[in-house]
Amino acid sequence: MLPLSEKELDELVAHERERGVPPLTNWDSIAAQLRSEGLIKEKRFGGLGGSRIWMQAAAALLLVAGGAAIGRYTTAKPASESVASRPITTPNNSGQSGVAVQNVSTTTPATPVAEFKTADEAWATLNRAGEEYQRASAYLSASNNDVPMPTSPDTYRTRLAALDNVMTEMRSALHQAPQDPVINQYYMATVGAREATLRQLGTTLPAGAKLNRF
Amino acid sequence: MTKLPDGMQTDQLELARAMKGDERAMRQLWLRHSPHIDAVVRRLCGDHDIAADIAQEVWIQIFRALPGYRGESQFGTWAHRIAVNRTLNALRKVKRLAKIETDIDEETGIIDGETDRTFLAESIEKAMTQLSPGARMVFVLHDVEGYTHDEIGKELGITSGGSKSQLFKARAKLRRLLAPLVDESTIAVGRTHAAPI
Repeated sequence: MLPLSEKELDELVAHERERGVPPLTNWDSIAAQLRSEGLIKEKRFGGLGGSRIWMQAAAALLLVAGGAAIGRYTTAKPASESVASRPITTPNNSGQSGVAVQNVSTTTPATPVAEFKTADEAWATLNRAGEEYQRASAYLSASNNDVPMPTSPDTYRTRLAALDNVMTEMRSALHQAPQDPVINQYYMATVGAREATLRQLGTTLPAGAKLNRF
Repeated sequence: MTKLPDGMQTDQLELARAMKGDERAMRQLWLRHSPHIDAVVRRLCGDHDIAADIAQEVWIQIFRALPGYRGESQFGTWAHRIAVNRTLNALRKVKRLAKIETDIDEETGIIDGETDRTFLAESIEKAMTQLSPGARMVFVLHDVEGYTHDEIGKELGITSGGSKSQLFKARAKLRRLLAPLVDESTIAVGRTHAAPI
């Protein structure tokens, strides 16, 4: 059998040069070692250096935005009903009670619009708002029995499906623009809302039932 | 302003993020470049298991060295250089290169007739495994990776002439080993020429 010509070998070499080969490595094992050496940093949002304050601010926004959305949904009332009409009793001149109708805002009295001179002021306000939201939310969860909560797991499942769709879109957007603060905030808000919904869903399941999927 | 090709722009963005320890960016670099880097390691090693271990080390070394990358060459070229150096160092450690100088002087020029008769090369990759470690490295570095004989000499600690000699012998053996492969595919059109060894 004749050996190949030089040209034929060159052709085989060229083919070998272009040939794709399955990878020898997998990212998980590489990443594990990189992480152990500190070469992979924990995920930072915004690349602002001060990631901690950024995370706190984003978390505050998450609480406010996500909480508002959850709150509105769980009360099962349209937003327009937040200003409700209710009868109030007032004494009249004749000494008899009279009934009048007065619009009463169920929200706290309007406060002056804050004006900020520095970013620190804005962050402080944002963080304070987040903390207040947490306290209010905890109080309402513990003591407000007037608000009808959804009792059907299907309601929560529907919400979870919607939140998952939002998370998918947001995650995709983060890949394109990982430092975009708006996308980060919405993503975190969605994550928080999803976790809260999962907890609520757990309370509606029959005793002994486990949540494996929705 | 010079517009960079899309791939290069993407590389630059990912590199900047990877240098800061962004895992997603690191993974993208790995995804994009691992086919070539892993292939270089595999060809130089000639043994899948050893190659897998070394490829892991290569990638760790690439990311360790990343903060020192100055962009004077394309990332792929820079990473490729690390891959070759790291692989050769690793092979030295496992004593695969212990006899390379001896191999170059003595072994690879001798055609093992028995092996040639029994070995049916399914591919050039398989055929390369029949070369001695030293000959395989010279062949891979020169013919596949495009290194010059001077560069190979420096990498392997041999002379440029030794590299040329080794390449000649490696190619002669491969032409012999791969003859059945090409005979099967080209017999229909006929082969009219075979260069003398």
